[in-house]
Amino acid sequence: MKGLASILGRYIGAAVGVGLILVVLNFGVVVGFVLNSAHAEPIRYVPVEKIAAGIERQENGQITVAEAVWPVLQEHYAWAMQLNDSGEVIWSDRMPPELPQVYTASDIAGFSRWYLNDYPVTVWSDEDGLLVLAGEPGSQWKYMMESSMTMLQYAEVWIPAALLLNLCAALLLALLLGWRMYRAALPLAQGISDLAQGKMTRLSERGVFRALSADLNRASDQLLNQRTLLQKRDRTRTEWIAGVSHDIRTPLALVQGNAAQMEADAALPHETREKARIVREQSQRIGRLVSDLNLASKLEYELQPLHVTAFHPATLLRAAAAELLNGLADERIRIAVDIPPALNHLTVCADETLLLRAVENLLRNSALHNTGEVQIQVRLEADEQTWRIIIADDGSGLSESTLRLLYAPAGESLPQHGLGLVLVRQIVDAHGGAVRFINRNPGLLAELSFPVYRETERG
Amino acid sequence: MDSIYECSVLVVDDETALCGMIAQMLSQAGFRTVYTAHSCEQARCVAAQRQPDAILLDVMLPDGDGFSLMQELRRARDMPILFLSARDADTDRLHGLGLGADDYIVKPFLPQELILRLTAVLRRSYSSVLHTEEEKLVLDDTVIDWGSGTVHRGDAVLSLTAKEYAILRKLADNRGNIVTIDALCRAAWDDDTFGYENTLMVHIRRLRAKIEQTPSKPRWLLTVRGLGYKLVREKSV
Repeated sequence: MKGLASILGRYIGAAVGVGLILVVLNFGVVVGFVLNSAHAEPIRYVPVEKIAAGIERQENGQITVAEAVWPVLQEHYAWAMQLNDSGEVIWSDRMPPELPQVYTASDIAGFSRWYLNDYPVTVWSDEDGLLVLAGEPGSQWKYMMESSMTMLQYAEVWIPAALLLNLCAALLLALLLGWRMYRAALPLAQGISDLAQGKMTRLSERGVFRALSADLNRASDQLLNQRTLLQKRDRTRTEWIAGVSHDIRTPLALVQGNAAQMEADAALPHETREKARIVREQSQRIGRLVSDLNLASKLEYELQPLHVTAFHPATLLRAAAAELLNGLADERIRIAVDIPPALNHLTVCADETLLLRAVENLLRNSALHNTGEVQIQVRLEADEQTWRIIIADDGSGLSESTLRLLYAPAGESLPQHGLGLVLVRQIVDAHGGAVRFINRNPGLLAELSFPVYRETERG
Repeated sequence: MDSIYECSVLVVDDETALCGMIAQMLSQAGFRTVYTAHSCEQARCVAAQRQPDAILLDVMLPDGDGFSLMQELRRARDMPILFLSARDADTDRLHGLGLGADDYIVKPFLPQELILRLTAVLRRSYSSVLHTEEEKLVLDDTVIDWGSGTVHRGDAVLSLTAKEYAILRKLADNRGNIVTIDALCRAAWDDDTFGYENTLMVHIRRLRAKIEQTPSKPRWLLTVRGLGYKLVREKSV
């Protein structure tokens, strides 16, 4: 399931991608927020020590405020005061009247951390005393954080460790979810693969993909039904043709037998015997046609099992040529069988009866579909990959339409003419071979080539 | 028995017209006794009463199948049986021959083919009880006596070797037809591999020396180049 492993990889990759996108997105949001806040409320912060440096106690005890400090105080602080070491207010600016003028150490400790009467305050201590700057109530949030140093040192290790843990957890989770998905999808993929190979599939209709599984089961049922119907139809058709082919043989035997007897009867007039010859020849032709049709329909629907045996094609070619010459006894037909001496020993594995039929059909086609003298050449060739039977004549060749029919893809209905040659193609196809019909002008060349499965030499 | 044509033949086929036609063919070919039957039942009766020497048996009969009938008849008496069937599938043919039939002829057939195959089976089956060889091969002034395996020309008597006899017999059985090199090798050596081709040529040359007037220009035993040999028929006058 290489495909599924790749899906799993992509799934984990996607999960990592999602994590990265979230990090980047959040970082962007934070940056955006900060920039936006800065824009809405420009940084006004002037360090408190600078303000403190601008507020000085003179030797006479007077407090002087530098010119530059005033606008800062005015603009950014609600009020300000300076305490001496005894906690007494020695200077103030816009200080609310309800606030005390003297502060104890605990007061100072309290507001320096938190608030003074709800005013968020900032303090700065120097040799002049303690400067207290107050913002508007509700304008600042203050929170004190404390931590031991040990914890702070540990944090250097713990924070990266926690991040790493997060990363590992995210990866593991992605892997786990991906694996679960993979497990759930595995039978589904197997089912689809089975369907593609024409096998039936039955999946459990549970889990994440139950709807898909149910659909696949339905598709499989439908395919099975269709295939059964098709097979039934093909079988019926083939059986019907086989039945007709069987039933026609007895009447044909009668026609042929009686015609042959009349043909041989010397007491009959020559004309009558000639007519009897025609009847005999044509009934033989019908017999061959029916037999071809029967075999073609069986091969078409793959109902003809191949009886593969080892034999010498040279012997088969000579037998077929001799059979035709003996049967036709026609002086105008000449057959030259050209078999290189080395190929007399060639042994091949194929269905000998079917191949003999193919060769007979080719020879008969050359002999009977040409008028006048016909020279037929029969050749046997072989190399390491293929062995070939070549049958060529010097007759009129085939029409373009018949040639097209011969190359029509398997499964198309059988043609009305040229059945004998279509049968040749089917027989070669059934052996995993290839056939070529070439108009040589003049003449037709048929080349049947078969893969070499086993080749032995016998002395 | 002087001749295979003395053999009685039973033809079993449910098609009466076909039965009649075959009986006529056999009579014309010279067979003196031909019986017909149209069912298993009739065939059993005739076989028991007349004890035919050979049976031509259809595979599909109205009251049973020829395969079973053959086994039944063979149990009673051993005799050559040839199937005559409209079933042409390899499986049927192999089944019939596998059961021990002497031949399996598919319909439709030519009369000569039927007669040739029947006589071949009879000759094979009854060779031991044939008192005299039923025929001699006559080629002009040369006579081949199959019984003694000799060639008579004038006063001279030449013997045929076993291989020459087998080759000439095969050619004579298929007289007028081309017999391939492979078929001749099979007849003489029971092997159709091509290794015997040269030896076969030597035997043919010797045969020609014995049966031809002018062996270098043979009149009877002709070579068909690339295919085999042929013993020509006597020219009809």
